[in-house]
Amino acid sequence: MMADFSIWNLLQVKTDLITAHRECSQRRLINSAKWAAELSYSLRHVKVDLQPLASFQEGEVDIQEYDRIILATSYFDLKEYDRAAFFLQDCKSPKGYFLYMYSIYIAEEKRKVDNASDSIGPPDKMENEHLKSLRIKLSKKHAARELDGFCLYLYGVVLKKLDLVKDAMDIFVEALNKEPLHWGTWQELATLITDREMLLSLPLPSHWMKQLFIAQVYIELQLNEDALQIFHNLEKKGIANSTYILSQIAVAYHNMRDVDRAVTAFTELQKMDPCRLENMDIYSNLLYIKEMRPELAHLAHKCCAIDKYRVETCCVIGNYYSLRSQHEKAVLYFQRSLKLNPHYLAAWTLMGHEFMELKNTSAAIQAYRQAIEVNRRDYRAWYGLGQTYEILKMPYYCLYYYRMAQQLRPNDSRMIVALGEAFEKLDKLQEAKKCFWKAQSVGDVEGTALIKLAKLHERLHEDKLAAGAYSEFINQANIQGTFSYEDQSQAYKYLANFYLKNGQLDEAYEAAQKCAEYTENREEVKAILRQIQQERTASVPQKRDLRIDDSCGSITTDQVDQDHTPIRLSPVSCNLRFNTP
Amino acid sequence: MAADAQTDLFTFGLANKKPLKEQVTPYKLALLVLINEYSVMKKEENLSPDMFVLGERDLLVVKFTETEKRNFMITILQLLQSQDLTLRELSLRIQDMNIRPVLFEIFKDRLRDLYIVGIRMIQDFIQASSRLLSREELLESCITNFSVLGVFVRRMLLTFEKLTFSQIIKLHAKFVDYYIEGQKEQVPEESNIFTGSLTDTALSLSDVRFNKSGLARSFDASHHTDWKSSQNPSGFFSQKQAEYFIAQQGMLLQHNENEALSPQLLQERIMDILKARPDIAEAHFLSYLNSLRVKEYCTAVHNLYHYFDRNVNLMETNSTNKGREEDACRRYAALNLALLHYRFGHKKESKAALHEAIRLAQGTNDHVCLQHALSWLYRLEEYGSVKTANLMERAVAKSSELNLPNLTSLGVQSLAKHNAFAGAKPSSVFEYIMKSDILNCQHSQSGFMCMSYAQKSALWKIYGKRECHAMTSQLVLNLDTSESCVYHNGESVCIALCNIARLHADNGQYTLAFDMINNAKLQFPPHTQHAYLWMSCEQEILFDRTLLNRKWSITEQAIVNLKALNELEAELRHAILSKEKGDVTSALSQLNTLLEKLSKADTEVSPDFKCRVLITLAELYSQSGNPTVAINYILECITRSRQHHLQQMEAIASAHLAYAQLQMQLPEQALKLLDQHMLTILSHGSVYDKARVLYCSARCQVALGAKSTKADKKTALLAAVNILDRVVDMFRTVEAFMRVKDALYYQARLYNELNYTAERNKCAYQFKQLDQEYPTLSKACVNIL
Repeated sequence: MMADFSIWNLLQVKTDLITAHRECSQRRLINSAKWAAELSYSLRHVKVDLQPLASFQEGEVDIQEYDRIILATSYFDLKEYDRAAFFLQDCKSPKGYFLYMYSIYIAEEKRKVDNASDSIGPPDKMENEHLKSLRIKLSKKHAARELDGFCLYLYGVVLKKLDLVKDAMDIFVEALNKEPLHWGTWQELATLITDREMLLSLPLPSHWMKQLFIAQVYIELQLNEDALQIFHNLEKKGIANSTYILSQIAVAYHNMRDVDRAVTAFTELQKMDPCRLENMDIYSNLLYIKEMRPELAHLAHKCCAIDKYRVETCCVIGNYYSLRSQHEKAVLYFQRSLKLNPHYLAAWTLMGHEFMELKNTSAAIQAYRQAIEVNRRDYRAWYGLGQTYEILKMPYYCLYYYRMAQQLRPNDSRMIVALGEAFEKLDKLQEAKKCFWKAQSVGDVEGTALIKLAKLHERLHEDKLAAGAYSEFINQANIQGTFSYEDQSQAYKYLANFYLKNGQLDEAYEAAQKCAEYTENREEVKAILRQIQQERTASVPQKRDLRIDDSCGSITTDQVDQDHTPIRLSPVSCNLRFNTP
Repeated sequence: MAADAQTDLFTFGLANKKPLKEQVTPYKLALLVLINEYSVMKKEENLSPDMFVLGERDLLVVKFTETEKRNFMITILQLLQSQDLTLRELSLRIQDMNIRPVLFEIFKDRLRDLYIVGIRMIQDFIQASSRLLSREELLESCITNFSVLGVFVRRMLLTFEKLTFSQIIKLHAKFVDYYIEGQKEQVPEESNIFTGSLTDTALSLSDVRFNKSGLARSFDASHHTDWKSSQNPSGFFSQKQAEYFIAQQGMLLQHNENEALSPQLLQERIMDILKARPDIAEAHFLSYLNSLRVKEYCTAVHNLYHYFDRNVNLMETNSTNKGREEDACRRYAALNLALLHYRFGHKKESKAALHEAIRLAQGTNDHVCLQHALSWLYRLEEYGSVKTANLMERAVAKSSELNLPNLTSLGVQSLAKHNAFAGAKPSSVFEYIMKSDILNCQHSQSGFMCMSYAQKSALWKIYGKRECHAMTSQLVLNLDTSESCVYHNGESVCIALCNIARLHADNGQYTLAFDMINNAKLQFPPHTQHAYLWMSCEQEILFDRTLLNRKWSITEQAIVNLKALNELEAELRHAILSKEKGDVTSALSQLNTLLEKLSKADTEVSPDFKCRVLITLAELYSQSGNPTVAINYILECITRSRQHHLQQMEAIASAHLAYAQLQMQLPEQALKLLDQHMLTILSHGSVYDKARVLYCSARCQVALGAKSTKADKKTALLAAVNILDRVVDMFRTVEAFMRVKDALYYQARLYNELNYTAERNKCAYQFKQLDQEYPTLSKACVNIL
């Protein structure tokens, strides 16, 4: 499905984009028009004949409707939607009808938002009255098959607002089949899709826009690799300079926690479109993680200069303050961004983090909870709640939150490690072992799972497994070049003792030598070395060879704890690869 | 300063702006109109007392009677406390109020005015209402500032005062909608209802209707109106309404589940509340209770966590106090989590959560919380061990010190049970329970009172005092446990019902027994928490009955059903059935495995259970002609019964011993033994047991007579024949037809011996008839006690 790039004919794409922009902007679908224009701009190297595209528009409507429409659109541009609707009442043409319905819709939505500030109670049914009447009108027309793609889009939006998701999806699909060039419809549909099967089962037109849509859905479903593949394919096809695609790629990298590449993508994006504010909150998150203070300061300054009343700006500034450890100010800015858009989920979670820094746990819990109420699938908030309760010394209580987080991100090692730590605190060592092993096998981000697993094995006196885990830890540390002083010295020390006990004197010697490089255990190491010396003089070489075989066999076949043998490695082959970093 | 800054910083954003505590809604506006009109009418009545004024408003000057005034006040109180009703419901309630219809007429007129004229009218009306409040010159007629109505009116005035112009417009729009909605459906029915209520209210119905208490009525109303059908769900717009509802339902869930809204309906209401006021965390807790009720684990967990995350009271600015409260909240969160897991049978998880709660409580020296945790701990610990008993003792001592009557009472009861199982003297056990009774009485804890009686009845039962058992069971049902007219309806009530059913069944009154069970079914629908009690009771009675009347297909079914509810009991009964069927080997192996199981987990079952297993084993041996082996088991049973003071069990075991002696040709000893225990059995045994023992004693007498002189032999035979008459009757009442047949056969033989041919033939005839219906297929079911 996603490999289907044969329909990508750049000339065609460019023509389509220009048409799409024209149609959308005539209907005042500003965002879709902007999107089409952006993409079209990125294809500026493709030359098309603009003449037929420009002159195409006038013939279809008669002159009376034309007057009405331009009058109404002028009012519309001035945000006088009711007025626009009034003059469009009698329009018969599809475009006129769409504009009429659209201005009614916008007028009512605007009124709703305006009234929200002095509402006297909870939202009541009256507020959706206009949606119902719109729905009735549109469904009549729909039954008579008089709706074009744009009107169907509006119908779908109304249905979606009324929580009739199933119907809304059908209508959106129908709209797309009639009018595949309208990006807004794709976008609305993307928010309704909950899993890959659902996506695959939709009867969508095979249009080039579909690829972009699928990529967008993949990103929302956190299927980042798949999304990236599509975007990279698009880049190969020649749309290299699109800001949209670049930003999406950056977001995908961010989701995958591939910080460096995400930062690179964002810096490139900054170069191409320096005044862009969209997605800058994510960029600031990345800079925060990398602790790139000057860059973040620069970004905050720039954003603030461009528009200080934007959610993204507030978020960037909040992050900046947080990095400077001025957490109270950070909270202030996150709150401001929430005032601008109460559904801006990330701010709730970030605010929770700030409260944690301020040691105001109950406020943090509230903030996280709020985030969850806005979106139940926000794993960061669940994780944050878990951490909060862990700090409050409630390891059993926090299990629930970590579990929820882990369910939402089954392959994120951080959640699993957190779960494992909680289990360890509760003395449920078997469960903890399972968690650490799983964390290791899904790709450990923080590199702590292995050492924890090894310590756990050591605690349970599962010597061979512990040795295996320690040596694997050392290998990984050497490969990745990470360096943890204490852990490594401990690992070497354990290994030295282990080999000594098993009579593998050469290995023991090597490990002890390594261990001697670390200052803290020097005395013990000396003792070990002395012991090795004694053993050497006492033991017979042939016997030692036999023993190696023995240990090899015993580790792979009869382990102490059979039910979840975490690491299957023959220690001899592994343990001998002690390379210096 | 820092603390201040923190609290100041934390205000939720625009979308989460707390809704005002009170709101002017169309419903409240209508109520205000009603109150207004009522007061105006009363005022005019006072202004022109006893004067008949002619003119257009002369109807108004009707004087309200005292009953009418009372009715009005009661109704208005309910209306103020209930959630917002639709206009239609409101009108029905007003018409039901049993007051002059004029009031309703005027009320309707006034609402129509408000509807037609618009905001000017609303504002005028509000201004007019402010005049209702008492001033010096009109002290008598008006509403006092501090009365319930006064507070309501003032609150409305204040809230209205705060509204901006656009909000008033909105209020009007809502009101118009409300009015139209109310009128739409009403028009066709209106006249009908109205005339009806005119006559009805004036006449007979009035007394009947008001017999019910206020609370019950308000719930009736919410039961009868079909929420779903009305497209306009009434909401909880003010905090008071929501809180009242939550408190009410929470109390009912605990006290008497049946009176609360049905789970589905309740959940819908909760969703309504949360939609209207997301800041009310208690709603989550109610939802948690509701999920517990239907055993819905996932939702319960989510709700519990949600509640405790949300519960922190942010309005509190007192920072020192706040921190402590938050800590407490967390402790109790862990404690509640333990409870949740316990309810779903996850003991390990429950313990982990409990230990967390204990650790947190210890950290802050919270003794009350620790006591709660302790009372859970001894529940979770291994039952019957010394350690648990120690925990209980400590719990009792410490809770009475901390003045926690419910925990003390609970601890006393648990400890009493523990002692009883451990074989303490009955008198000391009952004396100990008295302690709990005193506490319950002092603090009027109706639930605990029921529990105490139920426990006593259980104790009487295992001690084998049938009449006391019956009496205490009935006392549970007879207690006045009503709290605001709702009776307690918990586990103990169900147990009492089952006890009584079982007693009836023991007397052979099976239909009565099943009537009791059906009653329990109504009170505890199958999805509720305690339903398993009557379920297992029903199956046990079915088993007993069909075992005796030989409908073994049903018996087997009963065992299968029972297995899901009480596994040990089902296993024992399965063995009994095998024994009855004559399947000796399988019965023996089943019983032996059961004995093994019991020796491992002796403390977990009540002491009489093992005795029953032993007796069944003994029966099995004596049935298969091994009385010598049987005696071992019987003696073990007797020792055990003595140890635990199980009088009736001891008597029955002795009867078995006597029978074994009879089998071993020792009728003299047997008769002596039987005479010793006859009194206990005749006064406390079930009909079946009485019949069996009498039958055995008759046989002993015959056997004894055979050895003596001819005259003595004849008197012995005659006495035996007389006893057998009774025995046959008794066996018939419990539908034990095989036993009837057996007894008849024996009787016939006796008559034959006595040369009473006519009587013999009669018995033989009866035997023949029964034999056709219930043929004797194996030897095993003849030679038994």
